[in-house]
Amino acid sequence: MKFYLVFCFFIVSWFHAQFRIESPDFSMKTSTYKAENYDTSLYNVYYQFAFVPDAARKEVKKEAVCVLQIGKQYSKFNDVKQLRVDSLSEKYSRQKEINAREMEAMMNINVAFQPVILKDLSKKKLIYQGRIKGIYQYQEDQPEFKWKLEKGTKVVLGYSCKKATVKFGGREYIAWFTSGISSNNGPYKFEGLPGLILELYDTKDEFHFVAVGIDKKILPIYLRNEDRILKVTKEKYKEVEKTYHDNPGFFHGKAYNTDGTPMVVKSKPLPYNPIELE
Amino acid sequence: MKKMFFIAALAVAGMVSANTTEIKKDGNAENAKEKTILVESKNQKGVTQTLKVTFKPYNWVTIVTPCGEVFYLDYNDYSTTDAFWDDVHHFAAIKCS
Repeated sequence: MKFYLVFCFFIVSWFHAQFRIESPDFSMKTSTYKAENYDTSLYNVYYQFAFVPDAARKEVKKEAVCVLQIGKQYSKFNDVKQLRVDSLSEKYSRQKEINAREMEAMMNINVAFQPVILKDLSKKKLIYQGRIKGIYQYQEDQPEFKWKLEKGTKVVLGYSCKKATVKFGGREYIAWFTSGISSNNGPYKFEGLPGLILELYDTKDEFHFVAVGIDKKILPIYLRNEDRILKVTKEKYKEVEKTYHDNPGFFHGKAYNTDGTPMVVKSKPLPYNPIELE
Repeated sequence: MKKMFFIAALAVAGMVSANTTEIKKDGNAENAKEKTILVESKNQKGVTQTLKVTFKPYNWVTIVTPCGEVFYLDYNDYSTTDAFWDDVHHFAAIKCS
């Protein structure tokens, strides 16, 4: 009896914790999907990533599981849920329209960490894609990290790690890296240590990556390249990102409350706490 | 006897749910109709003009957020799924914050 009660509770809460579209005739034209394959991964490192979206409310953290796919020439870092979004987008792009259930499946994938970072390991360049309203992309030289090796050891994911510190984007970071894995890569844009970074956090603990798994599954390292992706400079991207957080209502359409009042007037600035302050 | 009650209950439930669906579909069809009316107006020189006014139809999509809050988007504002997805997440974040 207890089992059935728990089961029913689980089913009810599952249905309630999802987006639903309550319009029976709903169908919408699908967006195009295009991607370019760059490489395949030799191994994939999964990081638990906790971050503070609002510096004024440090107790509220968002969490994501991100994957660093490392290939011979390229590596890619993004939220694992982004891979599911891409997979569904690719599937739907082959249909003319999608119905409410298919749209819900897409809406219910909550990508907590939006950026996608593709590193060209030999040319020392990277491509950054971020979603503001639509996807924006910029290209830059791989940042040079002036690491300082420190005393101290720690075991992360069964690997003995050494400590290093660095200043980047207006924040100070502590990294734990292992020479047990022959890669000088790391989460986000970080790299340049004599080993793979398994844990990394800033001194205010607003951004914290910790490795939780490694596998050798061969996955394609690709990047979406639809025509609608806006290619800008890094400076322009930061400007648009800041403007978006200051006035999100300008970027979005209109929505209405159940009493018929427009929601757009209630739109207030969004908290802005980027990983790169400078 | 029990079986009879069970079958009757099923039939009633079926009819009720079928009616509800039908009402919703009618509502949607009504929304999709474009309405044009003629309006007479006088300009500053006192000349009467007949103007054709077309009302843009609303086609409401009801979104129920994971926190249970409800809001509506106008289907006509979106041409593809990407922009719709962006707005759903944006307004849901406001509703549920």
